[in-house]
Amino acid sequence: MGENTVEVKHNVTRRNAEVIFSVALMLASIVVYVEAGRYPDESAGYPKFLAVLLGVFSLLGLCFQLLSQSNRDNGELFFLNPLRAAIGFLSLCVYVVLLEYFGYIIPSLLFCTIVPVLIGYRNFRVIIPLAVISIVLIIIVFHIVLERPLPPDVLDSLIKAFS
Amino acid sequence: MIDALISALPHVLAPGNLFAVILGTAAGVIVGALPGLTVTTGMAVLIPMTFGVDPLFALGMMAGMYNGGSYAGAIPAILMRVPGTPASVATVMDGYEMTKQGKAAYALQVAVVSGVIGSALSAVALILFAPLLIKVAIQFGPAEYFLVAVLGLTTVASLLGDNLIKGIQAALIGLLIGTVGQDISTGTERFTMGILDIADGVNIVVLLTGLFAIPPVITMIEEAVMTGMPKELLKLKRQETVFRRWKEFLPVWLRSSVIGIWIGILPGAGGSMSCYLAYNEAKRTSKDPDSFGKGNPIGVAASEAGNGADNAAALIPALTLGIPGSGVAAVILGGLLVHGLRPGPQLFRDQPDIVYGFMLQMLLSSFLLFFVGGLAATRIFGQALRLPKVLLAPVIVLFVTIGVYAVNNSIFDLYMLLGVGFVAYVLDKLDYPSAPIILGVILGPIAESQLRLALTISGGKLLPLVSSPIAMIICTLICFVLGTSIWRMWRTSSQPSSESASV
Repeated sequence: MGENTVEVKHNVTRRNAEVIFSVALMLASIVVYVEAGRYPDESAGYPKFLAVLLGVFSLLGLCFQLLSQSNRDNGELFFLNPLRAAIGFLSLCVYVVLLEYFGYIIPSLLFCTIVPVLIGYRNFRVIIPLAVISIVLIIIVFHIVLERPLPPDVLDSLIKAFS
Repeated sequence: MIDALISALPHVLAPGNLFAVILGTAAGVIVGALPGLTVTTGMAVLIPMTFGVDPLFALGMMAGMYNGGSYAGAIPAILMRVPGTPASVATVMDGYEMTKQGKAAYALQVAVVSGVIGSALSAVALILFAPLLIKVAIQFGPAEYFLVAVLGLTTVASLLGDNLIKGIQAALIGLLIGTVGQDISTGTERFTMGILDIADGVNIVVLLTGLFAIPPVITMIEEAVMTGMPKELLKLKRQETVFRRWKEFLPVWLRSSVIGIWIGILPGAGGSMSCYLAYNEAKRTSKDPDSFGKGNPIGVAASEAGNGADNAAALIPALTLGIPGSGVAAVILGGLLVHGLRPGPQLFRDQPDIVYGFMLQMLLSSFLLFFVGGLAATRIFGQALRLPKVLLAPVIVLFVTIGVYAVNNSIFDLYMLLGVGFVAYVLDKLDYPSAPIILGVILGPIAESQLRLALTISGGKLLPLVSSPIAMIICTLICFVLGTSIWRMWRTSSQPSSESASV
């Protein structure tokens, strides 16, 4: 019940999302056009032309959304579940930031175990072995067999010892 | 052509490359069988992983994943009434009915044999027709290449999505992304914001993975499906065999394969259309059309042969002209570029072992499907389907991030991946097709440089660009494709109003 309330309160309708996105595309086309104006004519012509086309088609899309009877707001929501979508977005962001500072192993282990827990799956007998097997497999295949680089890791000495 | 095939054969049969095809097919079977994961997603995860390895190894994995993933959508379609890929929707109709009648193993066998036949015939068509089309492409000048790039953009932009405007917007977004980086003619840096990492343009691997791998991951987290396929469904025992009734199946396999190949060659049409058309044709020509939808194995055969047959055929325009016949072919096109292989006559001339080797790998992987997609293999690989999707999402992210990072050893690429992924999620939710974006990025720079070259040759005049017979044919095709799309859009938008009018 509580989750459903969150879904409706913090969700946008699909039609509104369509309108917002069309407006965002129009704004982006204006920015691109202005930015292209700073380049020499020979380099600016093509992106300017594309920016104008994008602006025109975004405007067409917007008009289509606002005027077409078949696109009336029927209450269809944009997010299936806004809370879980936010968890998805944020966990990915945090994961990449942690990758930069701690390397691959620890953030990956955390990501693989915490994300399922946050969205309600708590069978650790499956979560932990799967996370460990996936990371070990990736390190063996990528780093040891294919000799591909991993982000600098706080556990580099451990990886070196195994390879 | 025969010489080139004979020359490529030892490379294809080299143990490493053979292993790549087997591995790719197995991975494709797993990816295709997981509802929510498409072949395109699998390919987007695979491409960064294969960066830096031998091109034939990488292409072998791609060929395997394409055919394996395309067939495997039938597994959950038959066992669970959930199509694993959009192209296996028609398989559900009779496949699941057969499962309800206790004939799941037979339905799976019909599906795999039909998939093998369809994809093998499609690979033969690729081997036969691609070199013929190359002979035409050799006569292209800058103007024709520019027009072909425009044709590629129009076809994919208009056919991959239901909405022409969204398709064109997606292609324009791709074209604009394609302008990022140094302008080859003037040396001017465009839209780089002073960031060195994008001075040479946006990394295609980042774009591919961001567009096709991140949105399904977020959707999986959003859906939070906590259960996998029930264990009981994978207890399959051999039943009657399709080969005893081969005379009954043969015309269906052949007819469906021809339909699939034709649809595959048409740019942008895609697998779901071919399986529907093949299914409908089988039903139309059947002596007992009422049995369709009630567990008729012919329905499964038609759908799967049609589905398999459009795979390699979609690569005919992709390898020769750079115009993909389907969304997956568009991603494969990106994969080729990642390995420094630009489609067109030059590829056939300079890298015959690779291009003909890839065609042979498509043929090989379709035969391998018989073993990798067979009952015993389904029982083994099917175990992956028992994992809840909620656990698969983070595992996919682990593979994607390490693959993207390893291309340039760059954390910046990972931030870029996040940005592209989030925008791609919004695009996905709003039904903007993603394949035209990739096409825009690939074809945009070609269109720009060839147009400049053509204008220089013609002294700045536009009319000579469309004066050659080939250019006229391409222009006619562009008009035809756009006209068809506009007509389709008009028909779709007028349907609800006519329905409401009738009410």
